[in-house]
Amino acid sequence: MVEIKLDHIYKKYKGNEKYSVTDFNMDIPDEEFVVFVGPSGCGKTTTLRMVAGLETITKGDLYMNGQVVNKVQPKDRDIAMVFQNYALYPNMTVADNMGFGLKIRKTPRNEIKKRVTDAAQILGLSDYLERKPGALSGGQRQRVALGRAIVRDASLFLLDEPLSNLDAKLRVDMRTKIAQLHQRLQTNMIYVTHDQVEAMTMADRIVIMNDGKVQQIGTPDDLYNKPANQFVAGFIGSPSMNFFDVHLHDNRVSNEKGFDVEVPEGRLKILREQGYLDKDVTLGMRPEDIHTEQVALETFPNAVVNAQVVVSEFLGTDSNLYSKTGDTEFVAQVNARDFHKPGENVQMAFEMSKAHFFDKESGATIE
Amino acid sequence: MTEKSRILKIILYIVLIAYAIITLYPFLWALAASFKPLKEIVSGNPALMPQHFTLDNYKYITGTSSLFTKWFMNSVIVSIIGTVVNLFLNTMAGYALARLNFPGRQKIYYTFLALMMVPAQVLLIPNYLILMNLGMLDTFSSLILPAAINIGNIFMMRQFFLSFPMDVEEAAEIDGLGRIATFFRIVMPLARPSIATQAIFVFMGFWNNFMQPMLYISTPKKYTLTLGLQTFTSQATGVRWDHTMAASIISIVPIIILYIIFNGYFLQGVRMDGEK
Repeated sequence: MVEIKLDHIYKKYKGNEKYSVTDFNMDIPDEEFVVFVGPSGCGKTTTLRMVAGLETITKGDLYMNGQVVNKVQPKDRDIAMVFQNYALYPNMTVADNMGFGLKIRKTPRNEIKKRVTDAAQILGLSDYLERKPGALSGGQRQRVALGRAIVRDASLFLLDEPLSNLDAKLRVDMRTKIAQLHQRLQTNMIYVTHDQVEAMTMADRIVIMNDGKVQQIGTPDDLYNKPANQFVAGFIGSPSMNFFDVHLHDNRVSNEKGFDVEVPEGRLKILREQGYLDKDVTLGMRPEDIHTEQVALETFPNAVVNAQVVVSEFLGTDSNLYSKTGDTEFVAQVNARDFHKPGENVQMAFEMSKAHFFDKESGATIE
Repeated sequence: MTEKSRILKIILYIVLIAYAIITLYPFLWALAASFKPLKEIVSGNPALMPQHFTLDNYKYITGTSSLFTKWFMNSVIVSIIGTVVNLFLNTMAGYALARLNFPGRQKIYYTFLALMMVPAQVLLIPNYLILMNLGMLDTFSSLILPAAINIGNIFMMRQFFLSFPMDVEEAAEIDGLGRIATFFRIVMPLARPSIATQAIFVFMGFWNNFMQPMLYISTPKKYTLTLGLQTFTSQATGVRWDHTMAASIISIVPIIILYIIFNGYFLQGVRMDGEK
């Protein structure tokens, strides 16, 4: 069990002008499942590796249970790590791979065998213990990598994009398995991914990063419903949030490309108070907050646009309608019953009470 | 398979078989000659099968009057020790140049590359003088020490370690191994194919080395096999082809054995990330 504190952590690689991680601050209490998410090169893996001790920390302090561990070797941090490419020892059997860490720590042979057998049972690897990694499928190898971490009974689990090499179905299966493992083991887990679905479905808290900087730390609900800035709003959610560069005047937002909707009073008040009246702002609308049902058109009559469907995707329960009003493009996610073919003209209502507004320059949420 | 490609394949096989015969013939002739009396060898009869089959050549070179057995053992000792020392030093140096961060690493690497251009012959006299000053002439050390590392092999191992997956080492580090233990327990076992390749080349280099033993070794009992074979040539009797051929055949046996042992590693495709 461990409490972790990342205190103003910076990382700059030798020869680089720019910091790869800038001013990372976070407290991670015991038993929390934290996911670092962000696009490639955002610094999430670098941060994880600094926690593991595989990268040096340029500035700042890393605490584990109140002790600064910047200089502590990875082997002495009581951590277990799952690597993106599995990093199994190709010359050892599955059982040896899983038990190797315990063997190094001079755990009695019976204990190693017991723990390996238990972990193999949890992960469905009992029939493969004598095989070498080369004789396993990608999913099985990933489970061996997880098993290697589990048997260690470490106080902190670090997982570096562990599912990125698996196919979509396996990813979903393994996602569930990892979530179950966290519930069972009740230890801290830090999980790195670029897949926002993994982040949203597994995390207690998500750290969203971009360009080496933390953009927001919060629960999946916080990030989805109260994004701190335009980047977070655009990164979380699939399909991504629609952004419209608009001008706020009177009680409406519009652009020169034919987009024009009314802003409800509650939202308008905040915008007015923040001094955005008669200024350009960025409007963000989640695709699922754009509706085509008759009831929505009647409920939000002042935020209805005439749109033309350009591309439509039928997804079973939902349909994504890639549409445009005038020259403004956007995507609406509607009930599959409201499927429209490309070329159809459709009236769409923007549920403006759920609209997000961002400063045009800084991208910060206006609230 | 079309008729045309079948004909092409037949032609290809004929060419390859002919090439194999041309390559193998001298070896087969030497093998046959080792079972022939000298008279039959020098008669100019190119036939492979001996007319007067004899084991006398082998009896002579392995007999008490010959130092052949001693030379053979000398070569075995020098080659094995030299190979083991080389494998350790070259592999560790290659790893250090690929993985460890230390000041001047690149400069050392480029210096090594530059030194590869220096012909071995240029070093004979300086090495001779150094060995003489160290009092090491006429010892096996004089054959092993100057060749204890091989820059070509260091380069080969460096390239191997550059492509070695870093996360396997990191996994070992997190599992609890230190840098040295990771090297010996994880990296070296996985580097076996490269080390085996190196072993064959280094062993052959020591085994076939003629120039250095000729310069540094003066006591006949300390001769290596290559130097000893030279003594079968005498001004009085000319070349004793019968003895020379028997000794030559025995001298290639260790190389063949070594090749058989390590051949598997050449063929074995090892994917370091545990892929198939």
